Amino acid sequence: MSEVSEGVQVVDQVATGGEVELDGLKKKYGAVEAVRGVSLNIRRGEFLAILGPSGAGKTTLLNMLTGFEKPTSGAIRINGRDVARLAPHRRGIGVVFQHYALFKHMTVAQNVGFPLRMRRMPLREQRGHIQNALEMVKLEDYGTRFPDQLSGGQQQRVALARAIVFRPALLLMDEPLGALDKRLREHMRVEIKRLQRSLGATVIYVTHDQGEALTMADRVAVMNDGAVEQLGTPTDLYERPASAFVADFVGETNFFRGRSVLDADGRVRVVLDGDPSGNRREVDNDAALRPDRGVEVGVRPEQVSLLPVEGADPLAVPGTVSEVLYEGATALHVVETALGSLNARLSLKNVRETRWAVGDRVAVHWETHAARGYHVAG
Amino acid sequence: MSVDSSQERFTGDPASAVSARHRPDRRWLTLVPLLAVLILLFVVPLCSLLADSFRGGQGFTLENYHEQVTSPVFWRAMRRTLVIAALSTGICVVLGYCMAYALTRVPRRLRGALMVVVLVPYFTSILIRSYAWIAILAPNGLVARTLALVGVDNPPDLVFNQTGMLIGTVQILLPLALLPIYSVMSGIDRAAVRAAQSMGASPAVAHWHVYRPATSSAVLASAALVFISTLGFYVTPALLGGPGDTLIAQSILVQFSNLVDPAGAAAQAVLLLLIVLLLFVVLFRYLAPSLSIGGTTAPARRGSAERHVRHERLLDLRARVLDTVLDVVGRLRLPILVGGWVVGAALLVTPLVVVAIWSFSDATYLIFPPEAYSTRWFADYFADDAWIDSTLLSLGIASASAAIGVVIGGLGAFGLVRGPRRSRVPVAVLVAMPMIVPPMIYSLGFFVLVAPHGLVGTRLGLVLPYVVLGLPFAVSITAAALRNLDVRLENAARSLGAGPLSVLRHVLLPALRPALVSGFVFAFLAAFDDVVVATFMSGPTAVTLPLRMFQDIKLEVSPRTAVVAVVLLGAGVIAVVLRFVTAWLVRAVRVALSRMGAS
Repeated sequence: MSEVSEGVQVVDQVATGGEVELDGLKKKYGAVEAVRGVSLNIRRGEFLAILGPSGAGKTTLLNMLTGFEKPTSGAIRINGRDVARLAPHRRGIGVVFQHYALFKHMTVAQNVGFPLRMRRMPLREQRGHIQNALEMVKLEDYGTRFPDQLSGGQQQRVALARAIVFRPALLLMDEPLGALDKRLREHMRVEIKRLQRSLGATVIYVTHDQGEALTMADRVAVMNDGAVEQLGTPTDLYERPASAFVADFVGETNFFRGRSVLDADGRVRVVLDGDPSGNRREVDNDAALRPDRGVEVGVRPEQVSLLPVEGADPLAVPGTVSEVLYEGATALHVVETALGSLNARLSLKNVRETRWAVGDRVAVHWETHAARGYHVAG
Repeated sequence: MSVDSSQERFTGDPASAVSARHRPDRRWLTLVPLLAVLILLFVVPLCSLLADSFRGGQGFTLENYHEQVTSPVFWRAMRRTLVIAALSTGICVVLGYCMAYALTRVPRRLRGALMVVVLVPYFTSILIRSYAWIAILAPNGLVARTLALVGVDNPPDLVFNQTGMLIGTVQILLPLALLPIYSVMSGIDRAAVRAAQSMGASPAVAHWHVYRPATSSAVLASAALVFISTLGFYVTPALLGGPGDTLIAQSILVQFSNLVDPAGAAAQAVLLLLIVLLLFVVLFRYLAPSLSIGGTTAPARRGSAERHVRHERLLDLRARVLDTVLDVVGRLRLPILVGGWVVGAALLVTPLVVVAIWSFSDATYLIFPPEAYSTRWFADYFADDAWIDSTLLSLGIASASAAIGVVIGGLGAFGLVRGPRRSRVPVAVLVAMPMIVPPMIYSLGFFVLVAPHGLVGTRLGLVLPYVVLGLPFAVSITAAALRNLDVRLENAARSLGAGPLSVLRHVLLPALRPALVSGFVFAFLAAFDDVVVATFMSGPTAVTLPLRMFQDIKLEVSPRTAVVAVVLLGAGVIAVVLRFVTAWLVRAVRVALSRMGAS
């Protein structure tokens, strides 16, 4: 069958992931650009998360990778071969679908064996591969069960085994943990990560859950409005967000409006709207700011400290605690200031020292390196 | 208690509130009229038929059965019936499957239009659709004359034989096969198909291994429905078959009226009934969802879990052959689906178009397309008292029986859904029976039972069996709506102080109105379309419209029935339009009034 030899990849015994390159991928629906030119290089064995809110274009991007949508332009190269125009069944990409998409009328073993069967592998040979894959997801004794006899977590593992059994060059996961409860989800993060490492698989993991992206991925591509807004390691993303959108979407951020000004020493500083002190405040990324523009300054709630008003730093902003939300290890304080309402997340160790209550007057303070400025669009 | 005191404040009658809370659940009482009607008017006639079949000169005898079972005529009719049923089932299911699948894959707007193509014929009288086929297939009809234009002078005989019978049967039952399959297909999540494709299955292979298994019980259900319906078919074979092509339902009638052998007819009827009931029992698991007998949705069939090692080579080979065949089919899937729709739509729509054109024919005999056009047959129809009387009689009888059916069926549906759990399946099966048992059997039983009591030829004698025929529709449609209605709505209303009647009036009736209306329409059509019951129960003073049309066609194939069809269709269209216009008027008046109130 010519179809088999040219299209479907032969099962590869050596557990190596492929190198994947997305080159200017674009998808237009009429005049609407759902994906506007995404270019990414994914290294052999890398775990890349694509993170974004719904409507960011993740699903369209994913459908182009799996082959259920044809890109308007651009290329998808797996180990150098462009697959962007191949039919889904000729791409040889392993996919873990959102709600697993297990075949209800087949046993677990038949589910896992399906990709092998499609590759015309004799049943005798299939058995070893199926058993291997099931062992990898710790379901070796479940081969004769039907999917509806398994728990959600076990179904998830079957879907995983089915996607890796033919050693695809690329493993795609579409919100694979979305249907599980919180505890199981956290457990499965570790499992998937372990599996990916031991296989050396190249993974593209699509999610809207920043926790998953930050904990599992080597690099994260944050998508917004059809384009990659920032590509970087989890640390980059959290500590050095490239835009107000990333700062807001990954983790929480307090934003203050202001204006950038050029100081006498040639550095750009920011004057916040309504700041009673009128201070020119430094931001961590001042080199990236241009003077005389509308600016938003972002500060993470855990970087904000609340100090007694007496003897406070001149840069501190006075405010009143309006709400205290107990969160266990931390407590979230909502403070009303002249800059607006802001959140401060204090570790409870500190709270024991200075327990702020609703109505207390406080001085709100953050270190210069904790503040980042972003130009306001438009 | 605080609840009681608050109720006291509003109702001023704490005693009634307290007693209402402890009243036992009497909702099963609503089942009583339904069960009474079904037992008295349906079960009893069938039992008396069974008794008749054992009746001989000196009491109990098996002679009637012996006579039928040894009669070659009976066996020929039986074999012919089974062959026609099997063929039409096969064609309907394959065509219906392709068409239903295509429906799920086309854009929404096109889907609406295609649904009209399926549904309009479905609601059109079987009698009229069968009659239209004569104009299409007969020697002077559409096909023959089209072929003559191409130069084929000796076209094959297409009608008044088994070919015609088969074509007509397929056309009539195609929607019945398509709709259950479509309703299951439209609920299938395509994610599994995509998953299969991502694992290397071409579209056709993915369809076969993943999609088809999810539809298999629906396919079996519609096959069973079509097969059982064909077993009892009377009108279509009687009109489109030849003199020697009697099917079993005709054979029963011939035995009864031409050969004047009621016991023999009863024996034949019981034998047919046995086959039908046997099929029903065997296929009950699959039929239950489409007959809206709740609670037992058929599980998808499962592949065998264990495979024998020594068969592995064979299985490998089989998989290889199957996948190769599927690859070929997959390449042709677009032509197959489009072709299926072209054939199906032509089958479904052509009769309706032909009838509309034919009604304006000037000829007194069958020739289609007509050579000259006029409205003389319309004038003829409106001037003929006998035809007008029949029309009014049929309208009256169908409305009366549908109205009675909706009241009894609506109450019964409530008892079925909200009543005791144990009674649900048996009651639902009993309710479905008038749809399953061939009308010929039922009519015969009813006629023999009531004939001595002077009911034949009266309106009551027609209305009673029509109530029975309409009940399955009224009950199943209302029950389906009730199942979708949150029982907490009723509980909320009761907790807010509404009594059972207020719940009925303010909660149930408004929510169920669409279901009751469509139950009425289906029950009305069941009665209005009937020839079989009328054959037995009509008298010289009360000839229903379908019966008059049927007899007219048997006598001479003229455009008169086409005229009736067009008049009825026109009336239907006007009714629908009027309904929308009045709804619009009511809304307009309401808006105007509310504006006045606001200012």
